[in-house]
Amino acid sequence: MNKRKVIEKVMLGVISSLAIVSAIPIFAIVINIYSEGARHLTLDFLIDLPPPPVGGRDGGIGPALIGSLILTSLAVAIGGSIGFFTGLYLSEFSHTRLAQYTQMSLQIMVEFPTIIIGLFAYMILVAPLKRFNALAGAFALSIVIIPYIALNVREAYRSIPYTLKEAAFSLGVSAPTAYLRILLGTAKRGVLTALLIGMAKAAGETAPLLLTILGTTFTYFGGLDQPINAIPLLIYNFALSPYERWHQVAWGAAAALLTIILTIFIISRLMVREVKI
Amino acid sequence: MRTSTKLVITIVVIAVLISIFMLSSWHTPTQQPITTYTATITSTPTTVPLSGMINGAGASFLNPQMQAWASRFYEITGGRIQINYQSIGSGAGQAKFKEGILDFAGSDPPLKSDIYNEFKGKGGIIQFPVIIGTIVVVHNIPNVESGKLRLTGEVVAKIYMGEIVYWDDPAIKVLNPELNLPHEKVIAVHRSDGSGTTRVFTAYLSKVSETWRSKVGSDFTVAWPVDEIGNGVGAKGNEGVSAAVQQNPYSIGYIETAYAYSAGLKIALLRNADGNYVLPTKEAVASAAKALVKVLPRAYEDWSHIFPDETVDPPGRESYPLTSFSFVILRQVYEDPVKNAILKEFFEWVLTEGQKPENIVEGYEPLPPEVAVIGLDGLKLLRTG
Amino acid sequence: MSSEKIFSIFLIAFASISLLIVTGIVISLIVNSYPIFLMDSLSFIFKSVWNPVKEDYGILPALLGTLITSAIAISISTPLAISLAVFSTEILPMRFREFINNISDLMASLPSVIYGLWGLYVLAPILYQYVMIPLHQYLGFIPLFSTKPIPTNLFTAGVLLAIMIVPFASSVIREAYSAVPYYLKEAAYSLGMTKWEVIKTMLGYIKSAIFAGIFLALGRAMGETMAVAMVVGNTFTLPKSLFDMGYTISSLIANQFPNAEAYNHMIPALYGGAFILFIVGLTMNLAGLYWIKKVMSKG
Repeated sequence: MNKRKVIEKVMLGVISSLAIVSAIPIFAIVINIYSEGARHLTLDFLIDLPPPPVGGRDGGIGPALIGSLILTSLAVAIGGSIGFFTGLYLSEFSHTRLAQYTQMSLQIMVEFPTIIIGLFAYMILVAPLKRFNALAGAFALSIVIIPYIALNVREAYRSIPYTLKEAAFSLGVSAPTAYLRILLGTAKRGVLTALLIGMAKAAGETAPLLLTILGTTFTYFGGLDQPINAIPLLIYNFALSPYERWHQVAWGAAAALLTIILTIFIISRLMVREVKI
Repeated sequence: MRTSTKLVITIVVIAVLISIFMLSSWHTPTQQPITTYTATITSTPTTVPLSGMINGAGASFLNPQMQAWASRFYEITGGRIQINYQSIGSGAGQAKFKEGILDFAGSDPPLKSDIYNEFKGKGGIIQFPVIIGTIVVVHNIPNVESGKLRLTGEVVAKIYMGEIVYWDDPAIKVLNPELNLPHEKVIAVHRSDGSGTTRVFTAYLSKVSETWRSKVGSDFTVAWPVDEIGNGVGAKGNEGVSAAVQQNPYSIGYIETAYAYSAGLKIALLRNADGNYVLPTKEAVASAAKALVKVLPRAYEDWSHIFPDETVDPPGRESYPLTSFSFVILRQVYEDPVKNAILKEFFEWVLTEGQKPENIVEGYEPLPPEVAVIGLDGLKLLRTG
Repeated sequence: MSSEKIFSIFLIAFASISLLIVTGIVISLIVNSYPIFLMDSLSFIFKSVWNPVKEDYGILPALLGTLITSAIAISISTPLAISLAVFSTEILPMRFREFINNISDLMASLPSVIYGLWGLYVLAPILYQYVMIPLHQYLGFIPLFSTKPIPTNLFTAGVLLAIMIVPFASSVIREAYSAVPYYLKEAAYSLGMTKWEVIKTMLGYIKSAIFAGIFLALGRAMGETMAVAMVVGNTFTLPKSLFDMGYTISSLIANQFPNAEAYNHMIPALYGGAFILFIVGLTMNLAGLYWIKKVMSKG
């Protein structure tokens, strides 16, 4: 009798410790990044041009920040529309063959190494245009986020109680109206969460941008057919450089990115909360 | 009235995009003609203020100096001209240049001959040195200071071939009798990406070691024998090699001198062709450059047979063996007249004003005038069709 | 045409886009890589050479690197993921449950470049100092630990990957665990089992979900590029121990693709690597989906 109790206490202790260990890194990461980078987060830093490797002024992440904003908005616009309607289709027409194939495709897309998506975007948009360009980067990002948005939108619509759906259709309105105006109201929170998840992903991904946008030093935005910079790319480049000043900029950029991700995350959690019926 | 949330979001996204467009155009500074300084180079002042962005990429070696030039030029033109140079490696620079994806490439070695030949039917290219660079061999042996370790090309080749494994190998000890070299494995750091620095470095190793030449050869990327015995470390960019040497005690590496200075790495003395052990001082570099001036082709010619294989390890009492030029490669034909003009303006500035001491980053040496003129002559070939 | 019809066509069009993209990517992988398989056939997979001068390529070290780092990641993350799932559903008081679940989800949304930055400057030195050097000193005779360690190597990459994939596996397991019918738990307790024995039973019941979670996480680990590229060492050598520096297929592509056009056969070689990575990842993915189907069919 006693032996089993002892084993129980030990195992529960082991499980708890392991669980806590697995949660430690996130706290360590957030603390480390803010302790190294938060001091750089001034308005100047967010708008200024990057500093030269040595000498000169302190500089900032202006072009990268604007670039990220543009790329993310574009990616969410493209990936969000495709993802939304795909998710809607999956939810309401789940019995069709196409739905099953699409479901499988999305599952495969989620697990795709993002560098391969970058290769694809390079082949389709960079090589023919003969220039590194922002559109290729946005395109690659949108491919990355389509499965996340689609699967979440599908859940959002699937979880609408059947009674509500029946009621919507019994009103005698057309299908588009039913799905997009009436039922969307109920699914709104789920859909917005999906878009926020997509936004967070698009803001943070690097590999799709590595082969497509090149990066810029002075240019905030030169046009969709020109190179552009982005915060994750800047972090990657500056972190691997040997210049202490660029390391500092990388930490600052990481702090900025982390703040953006945390904000999006908190907003999406707060929204989901209110759904509790 | 219930509006679709999707619609709202689309509107918000569009609004954000519009405001970003406006924001970025607000950041383009006020009009300012650039006639004031061009008067010193050409006699015809330009009255139309040139503006635009030029995309170049390539050698990580050139990066610190190119950033300094781009920054200065940005200031001079009041922000109208943005020279966007990204450090992706000489190999990548040449590859992207070949595909027509870049306006210009920065490269340690000149254009590969097969790419040069490809452009013959498309109007040709020009390539010219923009700065003198030197590669240093750095090490991280604790207790051995910078400028104290003596190495020869053959010894370095043997290290990277994996034939010399420990720092206290007799071959190294005999060169450094007064040093207390430890019995530790030499960790040989090299580039993991396509690198012009590697090309020049391996050209040197090929020149001083016949075994290296036949076994490994010289290119942007090579198969490093030292990797096979597990003592090699690959790092991305000069930046990466610098970091790797800093982080690994008992390592050795090769990087462009500018990076060694800024990172405070320990530099080794190299034995030159005349038998003297030298560091890349101003005199050593000048001596090497003098020896090189005699063999220089024109900007529109194929340099790949001469650089760097023939020009490394030049003669001269004080010459530094790993002295090389860093090149910029341009097409001769740019259909866009604005781009054409900007490239001409910028590189003319680089070859004249840019060579003045206040515009040179520490670790680089300016071109002697006889060399700068190669580029200036070449730039005259730029045309729109 | 009725608006119904138009709407259906509209939806079908959008849904097919995903199919098109996936097909497009797979086709591009096959089309761009078959030259290397034509040249070397399967020896491309089993050779270890990256010699652009002689245009000879063999992807074995990168493949091994991917497998080794993923293996390290899975062995470390599985007990952690299960513990996290059990901890949050069984042990933690109710009011903290949402918090810990949010923490787990936040870990999953963190950009990989941030993991990479932290991994390079914080994790690698710590692992080097407190784990690798002692292990090499005292247990260096074991082949796994026989190389003199350097902070950025396969081991660090594996540990970083483990940290990154724990939340994915954990959330799948957590879902399944909380979905176990309550009467099963009641029955177990009524038999006089201790809490730990009940947990053991429940875990046995959701075995399929655990496998599903592991395979999904494995697929994720294999495809991860940025964080790994920043800490794995990027050296093309056949790994002999955990502490060797190495490549994974993704980091090889990230490093070598930019200069690939300067050579004749490097592009097919890199696409060949991408294709192999895709196949391996797909296998893991399908295995995971197979186990998920088993979970679904149960209840």
